[in-house]
Amino acid sequence: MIRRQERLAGVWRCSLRLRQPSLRLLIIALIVELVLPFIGASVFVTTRLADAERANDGSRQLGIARAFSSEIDRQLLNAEAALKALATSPESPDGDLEAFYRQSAAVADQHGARIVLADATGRQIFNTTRPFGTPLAQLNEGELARRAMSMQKTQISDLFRGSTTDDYLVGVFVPVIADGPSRLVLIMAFRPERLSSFFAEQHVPDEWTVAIADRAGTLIGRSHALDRFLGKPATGDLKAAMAAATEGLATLHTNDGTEVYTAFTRTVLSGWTVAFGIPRAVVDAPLRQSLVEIGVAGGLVIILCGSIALLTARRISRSMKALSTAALALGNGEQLSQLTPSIKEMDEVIASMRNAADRLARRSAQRDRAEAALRESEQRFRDIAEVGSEWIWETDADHRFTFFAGATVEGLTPLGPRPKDILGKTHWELVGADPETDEQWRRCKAEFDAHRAFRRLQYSAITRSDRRHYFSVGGNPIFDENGEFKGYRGTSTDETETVEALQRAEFAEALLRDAVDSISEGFVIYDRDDRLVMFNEVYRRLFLQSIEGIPVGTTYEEILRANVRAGQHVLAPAEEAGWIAQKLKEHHEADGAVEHQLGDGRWVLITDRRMRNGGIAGLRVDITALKAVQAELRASREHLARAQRVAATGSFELDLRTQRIEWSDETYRIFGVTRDVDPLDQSKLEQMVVPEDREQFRDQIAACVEGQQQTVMEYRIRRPDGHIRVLYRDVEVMRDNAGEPCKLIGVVKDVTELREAERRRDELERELMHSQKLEALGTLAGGVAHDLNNTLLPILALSKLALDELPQGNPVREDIEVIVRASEHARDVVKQILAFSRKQALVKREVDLVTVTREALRMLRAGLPAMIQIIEQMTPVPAVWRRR
Amino acid sequence: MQKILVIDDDSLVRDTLLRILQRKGYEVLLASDGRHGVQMFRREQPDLVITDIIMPEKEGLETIREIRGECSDAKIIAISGGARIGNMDFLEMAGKLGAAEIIPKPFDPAELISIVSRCLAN
Repeated sequence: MIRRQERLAGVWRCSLRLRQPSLRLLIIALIVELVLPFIGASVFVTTRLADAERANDGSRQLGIARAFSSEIDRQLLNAEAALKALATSPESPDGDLEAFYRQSAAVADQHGARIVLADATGRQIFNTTRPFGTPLAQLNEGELARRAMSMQKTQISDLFRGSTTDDYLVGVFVPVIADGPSRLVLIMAFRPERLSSFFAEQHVPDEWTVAIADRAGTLIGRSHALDRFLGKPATGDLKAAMAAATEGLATLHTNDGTEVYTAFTRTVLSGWTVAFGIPRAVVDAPLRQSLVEIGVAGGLVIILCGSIALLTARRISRSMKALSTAALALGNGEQLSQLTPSIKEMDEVIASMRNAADRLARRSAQRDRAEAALRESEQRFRDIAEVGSEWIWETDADHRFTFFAGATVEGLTPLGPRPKDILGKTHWELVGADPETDEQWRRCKAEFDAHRAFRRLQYSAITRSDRRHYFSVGGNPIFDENGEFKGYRGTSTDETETVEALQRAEFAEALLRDAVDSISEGFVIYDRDDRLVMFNEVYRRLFLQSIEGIPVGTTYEEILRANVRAGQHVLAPAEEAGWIAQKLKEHHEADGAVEHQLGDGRWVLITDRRMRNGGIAGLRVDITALKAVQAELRASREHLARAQRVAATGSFELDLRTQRIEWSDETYRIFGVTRDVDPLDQSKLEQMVVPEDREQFRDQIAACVEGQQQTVMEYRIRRPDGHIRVLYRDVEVMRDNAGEPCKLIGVVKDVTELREAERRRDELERELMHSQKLEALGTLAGGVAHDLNNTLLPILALSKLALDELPQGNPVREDIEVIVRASEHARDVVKQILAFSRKQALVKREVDLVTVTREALRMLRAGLPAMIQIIEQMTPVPAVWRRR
Repeated sequence: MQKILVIDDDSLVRDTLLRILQRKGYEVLLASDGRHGVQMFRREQPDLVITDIIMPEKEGLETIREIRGECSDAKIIAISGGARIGNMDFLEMAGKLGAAEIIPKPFDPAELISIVSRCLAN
């Protein structure tokens, strides 16, 4: 990734360099631009010359090819002529054939060829390469021989193999014309190397290549290496060129692959093609040489010119750098250093710059002074604005701040205190408001949009510190010289503290007024001059109701007189002045409380107090109800006293701190003392308590004070008249705010009779319980007696029945008689038990104690063992009363 | 033969009366409580009823009242071991309800026969 970035950076630098080329590069480019066309033109001209030369060479080459072609035609014509002469010789074929053979052999030797006589079937009649009469093979080129005979015209063969010698040959076929149609044909055949010997004779250079191709495109002659290429087909591009034209120029390839500029032409007689090629390398060598030389020369020229240009460019560059330094110094308002430019024009430029620098320095100094004055002025404004809790600002036509300065903007805006956050924003954007939805800001924006001067435009906003700030804005519109609105310039003031102070003052005043109004009593404030400052509704109803429109500022005396006139105070005319003087005196003394009855019967408690500022604060309490309550209280106390008397219950209060004690009248009565004659106190009280109860009496008080629940007790006192009375006391401890006991409140009730009644009731209850026990015992005894009687019945009855039936003298009778006696005894005992348990009404009657005692002894006897003897010794006593 | 109905919850008492009365030639019917006694009275129509006062199921006073309801001139002798209700003696109450005679237990056989004979004679 990093390499890629470096590569990109390199490309970017290169691109930058090309986009902003240096002077040196430009000069070099200029030189190159000047030299390169010359070099290009040289190359072009050289190439064109080479092409023209090549065209000339081609023409010459084609001429040479034609010359070679003509030579071949000449050789063939020679052969045709020789054959035609032979045919017409005296030793014609129709005559002495052997002589004709010999003549033919002589001609053949002369031409270095062989001659064959053949007939129309292609049969060889003789062949000079064989003795006459030697049987010969059929001609390989029989068809050509027949064509020559049929057309009566000489035919030239392509390369063929001889049927007799089996070597490559070319031949000229001449029909033997006699009287009638030709029947024989004379053929001169020779080896194709003979055609090429001409090239050696012409000293064809080794690098040139001359080739002969027959009509079939087979090579039959070549200036070099014929033995290697004889009988081989010509190259494809040569065949194509031969097929396309009878002669021409082309760039072809030889059989050995050499590229050659070739001129080719077709021979007239045989239709063979002669191609003459010169290797391209040989032909183009001079041109290449010329181009290399031009290139080298051009390169050298470029290097030379580039070097010169570099030197020149460096010189110009140095001058430019000096110029640049001078311009920079000029721009910075510095003094131009001594420069040594090496170019005349640069020197002039520097001189001009020096002149300009002097002017700029002067103007710069003027501007610096102006800027310093401006900064000072601006700082002055800022200082004033900061000290004055104001901001100075400017806005553009869209009401966006373009300038903002002044007091700290801490807390001004939700955007924070940085001025850069403020620039570009509108008033409402500063506080995060939207004029579309905020009525306050809709009105402000409408004011701004009117492009009028505005003053004390107020708005509020909640800052980041969650505090609502109040701002007052004033601004003047700014118009350009065309009268177009450019924005506003104005100031903003944070009036939060003022507004808050005002709000606090209003709140405090409202609070005070609420407090004064909420006082249930009349409240009034007079200033030091006795003038009415403030009063509440209750005061108005009490003292001002009869006076219409009492204004604040009216004096107390005026109010008094107005009330007197209105009948608020019923006074005789003679005492009016004195009364007013007395009231003014009381008012001015402003000390204590005075009860005052109004004309309508109401009672008012007037309390005036002097305030620190010399004024008087007055409280007017309507105590009419209090007075009534006091009366009710008195009545209630009397009622309570009566109730205590009826209930025989007294009350007392003991102040635990002062040990002061208060008794009610009924308490005095209970204790048998009189309040006026012998007032009670705690020690006297304790002395009246009987000694046995005195300690408990004291302990109970202490226990109550300590918070124990023992609040109720009874104790006995001895009244001064000597009577012992039982008293019931119930106390309750009152505690102060700290929880400490401070007072003991109690009731005292004389319960002497009650306790006596209770004692008697208890006694009766005990008796009743005893009686119930006896009744239960009687019921039990009755039940037992019932069962015993049932049991005794069969014993007694059947025993007696048995006795009746037993004869006298029967020993069993005595036994049964014992049973009968025992049964009767048991019956008696049961009877006594029944008598004991029998319930009878408790009535008192006289009884004889002796009789009763005897009955008791009888009953006792029944329950005692027989070993115990009871001895009765009773003397008659008077009858007594007892309950039955 | 005169029929005497004996009503008593105590079997010993019943047996004793049975023995005494049978020896004197009476036909004796026995019932162990007041309810059976009343049923037997309706069924047998005895000449004399001897009933105990304190019994389970139906006590003697109620039995006397019902028998009186069935037959206003029925002859009834009340016997009792002596128990009382409150200050009222049962035997006194039985007399007030219509018992011709009242005999406290225990009694002599001769006394019983005498009273029975007197009642039947009346």
